[in-house]
Amino acid sequence: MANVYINGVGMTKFGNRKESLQQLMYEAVSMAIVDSRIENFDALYVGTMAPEAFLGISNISTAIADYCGLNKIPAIRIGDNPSAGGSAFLQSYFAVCSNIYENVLVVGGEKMTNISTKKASKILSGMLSENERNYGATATALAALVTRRYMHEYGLDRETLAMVAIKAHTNACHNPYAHFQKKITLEKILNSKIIASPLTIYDCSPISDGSSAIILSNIKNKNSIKVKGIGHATDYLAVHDRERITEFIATKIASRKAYEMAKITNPIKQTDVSELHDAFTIFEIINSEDLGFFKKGEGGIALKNGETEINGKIPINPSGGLKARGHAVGATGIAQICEIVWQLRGEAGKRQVNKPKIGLTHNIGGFGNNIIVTILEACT
Amino acid sequence: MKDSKNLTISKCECGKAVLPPRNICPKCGNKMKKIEISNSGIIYSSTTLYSVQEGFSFPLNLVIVEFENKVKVLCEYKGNKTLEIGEMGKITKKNEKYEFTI
Repeated sequence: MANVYINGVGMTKFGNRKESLQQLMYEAVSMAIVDSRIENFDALYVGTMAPEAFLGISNISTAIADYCGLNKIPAIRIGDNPSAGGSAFLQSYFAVCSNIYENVLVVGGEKMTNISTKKASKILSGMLSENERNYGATATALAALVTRRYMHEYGLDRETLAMVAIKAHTNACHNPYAHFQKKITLEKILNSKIIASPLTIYDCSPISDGSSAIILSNIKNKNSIKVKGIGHATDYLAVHDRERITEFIATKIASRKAYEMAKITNPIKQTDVSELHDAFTIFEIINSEDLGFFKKGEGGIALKNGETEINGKIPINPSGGLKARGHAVGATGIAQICEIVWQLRGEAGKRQVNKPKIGLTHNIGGFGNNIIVTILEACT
Repeated sequence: MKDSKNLTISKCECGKAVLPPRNICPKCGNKMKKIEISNSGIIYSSTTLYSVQEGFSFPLNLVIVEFENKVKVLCEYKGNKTLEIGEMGKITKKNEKYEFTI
């Protein structure tokens, strides 16, 4: 099996974009190609959750190959949920480490703002179980149920939870690709409209358009970032079928596999920066515990103590995370990888973490039930 | 007061139990059996939605209820009391849907 390296990255600014999905993907792909200085690619992997539903486009893999001028390239679409980006990365990793392909282009993207928020929410609700959908539950409703239960089990308060969003927006001020690049205050969060009690709009990642791309190779070059570990697991579809709803077992299993592969026995000491899937504020707290950074129930305390700030002991989501960087669903898993690559290369500007050597990404599909973890290493 | 066993759940030999009932165990893939348990349960979590999907009206109260056999289900609460985690109630089926009452 070959070593797999990330040799190029690129992404668009996430937000309410006027460009089409094809244009956004082309923008990200072009940037990654220039970054890599590689000209020939053996395959194109397209990670996207629902272009059929959002845009009425099928055959997206071929459409992107065609739009980008990659005539005759093997092209495939990967993903059916918000870990489409992570899934596309995973499948392309398998192709490169098997030496079947040498250089592959992986692009994640989603165009979601061309329809109403209600319609977008309905499409996203497709990832819930039938029973949950039948009662009118949305992803936000499920996150609210998880949040209330977590508050009950661990005494987390509303103000501490809000700090996830405050940190996200503060970090994103230094991220030119972020959907939101403005700070928010506790006061604003506490006074805003409740969507599903106790969650407000500021507890939820936005609906964004955007694309991100990476190039995987089995050849190392000057700027290469090595893929040290990968892990993937699923869990029961319905939240109510899980024994506990304040943890994601799929994160625990996927990260355990990734740590084992990367020979990491102490994630606290042996990882330096991470990009976790904070689709909702409570997720960042839960994820940080499930990944082994903090004991169960202490993720909120650590956040409150500043441990997860860019200059903290365990920097989490220096990009602004899904909350402020944005969540163009299929693009997210790849965008997380882009950020970690920039961090490991020392190219993250004002949001740079101090000399990281190992970074982690964590991408959730469905409501906490299809999770991919990657471990990336700077090549010295 | 006699506790009526009138809630049908699916249970597997491996120990997993689910609601609504289904044929294949999501844990181990074996065939599940239908059993009757008490329809009394405890509120595991609850929320009120103020932003709802088409076909639903707000505010919409959703609740996860836990029963014996560690079974939980998501359903609706149509009353107007503030629900507390740990409170006891019952679910009944109305028009093919479960409804929680205190």
